[in-house]
Formats: sequence, C-alpha cells, structure tokens
Amino acid sequence: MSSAWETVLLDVEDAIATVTLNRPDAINAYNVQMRDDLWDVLGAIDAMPDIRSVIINGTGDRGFCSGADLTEFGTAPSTSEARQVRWERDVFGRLANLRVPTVASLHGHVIGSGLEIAMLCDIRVASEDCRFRMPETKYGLIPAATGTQSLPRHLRHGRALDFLLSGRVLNVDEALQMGLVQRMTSRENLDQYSRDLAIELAALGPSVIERVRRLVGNAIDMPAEQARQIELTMALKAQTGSPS
Amino acid sequence: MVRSESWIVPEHYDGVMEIPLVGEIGLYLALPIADEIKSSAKLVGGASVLYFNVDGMAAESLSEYGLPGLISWLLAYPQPTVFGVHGNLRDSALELAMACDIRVVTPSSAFALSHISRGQMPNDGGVQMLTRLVGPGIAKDMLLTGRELSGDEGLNFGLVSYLDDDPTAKAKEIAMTIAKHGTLASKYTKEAVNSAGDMTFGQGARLEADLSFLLHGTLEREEGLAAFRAGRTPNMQLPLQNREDGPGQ
Repeated sequence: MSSAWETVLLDVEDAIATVTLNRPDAINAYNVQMRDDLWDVLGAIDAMPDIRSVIINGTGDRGFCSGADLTEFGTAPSTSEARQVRWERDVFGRLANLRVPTVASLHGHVIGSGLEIAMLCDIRVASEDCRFRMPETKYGLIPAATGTQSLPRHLRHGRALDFLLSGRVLNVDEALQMGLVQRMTSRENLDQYSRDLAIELAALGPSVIERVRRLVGNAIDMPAEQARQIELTMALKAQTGSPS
Repeated sequence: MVRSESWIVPEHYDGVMEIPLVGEIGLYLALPIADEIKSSAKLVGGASVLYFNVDGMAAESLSEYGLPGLISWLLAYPQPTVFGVHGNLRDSALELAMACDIRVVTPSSAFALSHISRGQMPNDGGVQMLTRLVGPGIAKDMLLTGRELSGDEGLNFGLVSYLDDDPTAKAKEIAMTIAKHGTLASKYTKEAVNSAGDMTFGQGARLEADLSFLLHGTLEREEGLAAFRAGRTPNMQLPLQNREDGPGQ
C-alpha cells in the first residue's frame, strides 16, 4: 500500500486500483489536502495503462466519507480565486471521466461531498449499514461537487428535491429502491463484492466504458434523435472495427 | 375577496406560509384563492416555505379546475414548497401537487391523470411535470391509459416523497424543518436541481458551482459554519433584509 499521499491510499493489484480515502479520525472528511491528493492519484491512474478498473472506498469503521471538512471553509483567499481553483483542479470532472470503470464501495456514513464523489462513479455498492445524507442547506451551503446535477439524474426530480431540501437520511433499502445505489451487500462482504465487480468490469475494453458513459449521458443531456444518431454511428464503427 | 368555510386565509409562522385548502372549492372560489396565495406570499417577499394543507374534499373538487394560474407561479416560486393531502390526487389536483417540490400523501391515496378518457390532455403542464418525476415509461402508461397509481406505486415511481397516515402533519413538519435551513441555500439548491432537467451535466455543474460561490460571505453561511465549529445547531432566523448582505457582498 503506497503512502505517497497524506489523505489517500493507492493500491494496485492485478490491474485493479483501489483508492482509499484515509482520514479515519474525521470519517474521511474531504479537505483541501484530500482534493489535491485525489487529483494526483486519479491523474496517476489515468497514466497507468495496466489499470483496468478502480474501486473507491474509505478507511475506518464509521463510514466512507462524512462530507466536506467544514472546519476549513471560509479559508479561501477570495471567492474569485476559489472559483478559479475549482476548475483548475476539477477533481470531480477527472473522476467522472476516468479512463477506466469505477466502483464506489460504500459503508457507514456517506454524507455530502462523499456521496457526490460516489455519484460520479459508474456503479455504487453499499453495505447494509450505509446512511446517506445531504445536509448542506442546514449550514447555509449548497452541494458543490455536482450533487444538484447527479442526484436528479439518478433519483429523478422529485426525490432529489426532497432529499436535498429536507436533509432526510436514507437507509440502504431506500437508496437501492430510489436508484441512489445499484448493489447491496453485507458489511463483511463489501470488499470482496466490490473487488469481484471491479474484476468483472476490468474485462471490458476502455473504449466500451467511454462509449457507454457518453451514450448514457447523451440520453439525458441531448435531444433524443440527436443522441440516437450518435449511438447508431458508434455502433457502426464498433462493428467495422474503426476507432470510436 | 370571496370568503367561505372552505377557505382559510394563509397563516405565517416560523418561516412557513401555511395554505389551508378545505372543503368544496368550486371555480368561483379557485380564482380568488390563487390570487390570495400570491399576494400573501408577496407580503413576506417570497421568502417563506409554502405548505399546502389539503383535505380530501378540497383535493376532489380541485381535480376539475385546480387553482387557475397558480402552477406557473409555483414553478417559479424561489423557496421550497410542500404539499400534504388527505385523499386522492386526480387531474388538475395532481397537476397542482406536481408543481410543488415535495408531496406527502396517505398510503391509501390514488393518483391519476384521466384526461384521455374524455379525449383531452392535461392542460397545465402535467405531461412535462409527470415525465420528469416518474420517467417516460410510467408517464406514458398513465397518460395514454389513465392508469391509476396506488400510494405505494406513487412512492416507488417517485411521484410522491412520503406516505404517512397523517400527511398534512408530516408535510408541516418537513416545511418547518426546511424553514430552519438557510433561505438562500434552499433557494439556490432548488434552482440548481430544477436546472438539471434543462441543462447538460457540464452546464449544470457550472451553475451549481457559481451559486455555491454566491453564498460566500453571506450571513447564513457564516452562521452555518460558526455553528458547525461550535458543535451547535445553526440558527437561520436571521433578519430577512440582512440575509443577502454578508461581508462578502
């Protein structure tokens, strides 16, 4: 297990990279250091051609991630600089567009930015002790890691509004039913389950995940006929073996 | 102003505007009720969470005409809106409920848009609202066949958020919880989520980030962070006129 980064561990084994959020004393709260570490780690993964899939999990018993580390909020030099940094180090964009498939392996508390990070992965596996919550508005904040965009796409409009505005807690059964997560397993079995899934996804060629991600995104973001034409073109290219 | 037993004037408390809709509401009442709701909300600058407290008879009578002109207004209303109803939601009543952000119903409630059986279609934007809430498959099933959903189905398909034996009490509780949150934070969250249906992911992410930066320096964000650091519950009952006048602006 590499310790090159202060808040994130990276383990690579048999073409599977495991990225572990590693601030267990703070339930892996997402802070500036973790942003910078994740930026580097995800960049490194994209640069390692042998890696075929990625698992993102959190260390410690209490949970995957307790959200943004609010103790650091208000320390940005200025709003305009904070805005510039947001897009210069777009960790969330880098995660969503990673070259290989991603599995979020979730346990315990999955809160705020932690859930937003999970929503940017391709498939979410949750252990039965998961508790999901978006508490931002209670603190005079809004989600800022694309949660207002990912949640309506996964939960649909009404459930996303309720979840974000009321601050309600969802358990794993509700999360599964609403489409927040796709798989559920026991706490004891979580690591193995996520690993098996990552191995299954590793068998896919990188162009497959790129195509599926793009086409699924198009299905929501584009006029239907335009998205369908792109899908047909891609399918034809795939059949004739030309690069997508 | 028309007054009757079926209509009680909105009540304001703790950042919530409660809108009681009780008893038979015919067309002659529906228009003035809609106007009264708008002017009452204007009194507090549109800063209140709206809570519709609807009984079964009102829901039934609203199925014919709804509250004319109110849906466009509700869709543009900046703060969260919660709809609690004892009873079924059909046609115009369902369209009215769908224009709110959160719906609370009883387990025995039923939902339908039955316009097709009269050779008509929803006339207040119901097709758009329904499709965004439940997706195209269920929406077309309901719209083309008049299919009635049960309470469980409404919950499972995302048409309603809660089933509760006392839906108006539950809706009121939710409205009061939201009213304790940051007013600007709720407003911007609602705006960003609503934009998700209209924008690409990338465009929406930009809007979300910029709305988040707009909150920098506001009193409610300062209060939220101070409360977090002190391990106490934030107190968002800030003077209304100061809410947007933080040190950063």
